[in-house]
Amino acid sequence: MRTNLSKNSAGKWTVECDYHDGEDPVTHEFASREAAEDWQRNPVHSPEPSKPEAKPKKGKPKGVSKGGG
Amino acid sequence: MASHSRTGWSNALPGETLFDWGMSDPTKWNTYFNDCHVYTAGDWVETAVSAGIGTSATTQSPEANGVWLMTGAANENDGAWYQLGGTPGVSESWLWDATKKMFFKARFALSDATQSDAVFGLHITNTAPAGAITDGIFFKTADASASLTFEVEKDSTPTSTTVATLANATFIEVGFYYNPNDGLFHIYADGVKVAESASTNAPDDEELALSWGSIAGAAGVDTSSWDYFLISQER
Repeated sequence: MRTNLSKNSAGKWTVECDYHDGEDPVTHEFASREAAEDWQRNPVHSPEPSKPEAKPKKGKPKGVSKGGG
Repeated sequence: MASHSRTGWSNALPGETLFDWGMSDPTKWNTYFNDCHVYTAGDWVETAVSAGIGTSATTQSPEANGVWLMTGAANENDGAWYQLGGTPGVSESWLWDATKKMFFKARFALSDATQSDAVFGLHITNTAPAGAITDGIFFKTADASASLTFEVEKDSTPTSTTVATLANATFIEVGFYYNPNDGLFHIYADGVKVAESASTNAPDDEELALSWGSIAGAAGVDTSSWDYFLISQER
């Protein structure tokens, strides 16, 4: 897995997580560099940050009915 | 170690499964070798820092011998650290044992030998090894110095030995051989023995992982090149 700490265009510290599982990487936003580094030290087991900034995931969009009928 | 040549060359003992196999028994050693011909991101737990312009990452370098090229983003402390493993986590699969021979060898180069932090070898899970490492057997160069040292560390108590002075963008081959007969780590640089280290602080109670990487010691884009890694320990 890859984690990458960087600063986004809005000036927020982020950690992008790529689990190399075929899914798009997920980016989490943090209030400070220290908070981002803390999370990066153990991204697998740490609780999700309060404001995850997730990219759209592959798969069926939410709200689409299963169809049938 | 016994050897015979009845059906080829073998290090298997009479009665063992591979006694009549015409090759050396590779299972007698816990070995990992990567010649860096293909960089496979999923094999590693990668911790990158890209605070400056650019993105810190490793790619396959288009050069002879198979070389991985880690290019950092442009701020001080930008770069990346790697530990063998992957999404399941770091694979800590070597445990130093005073009674077992152990070998390590690697070849690498830093674009800026002085203004870089680099760490490689075996150490416990650690996403920021330029700082403190509690347990490991590894090579290290710190920011503001071109000196490469060999560290044997247990419970945050290290034995540090000077190995070589690094030069910019110049490959160097370094390694160690732990000899259980004298209890010493014999340290080599470019094929020549340069020092010995006591094993007093060798970590005998923590499994260790193959680890490598570097970060910039000053603003600017720095790179590190990695040609191969070999670890082998008697079972």
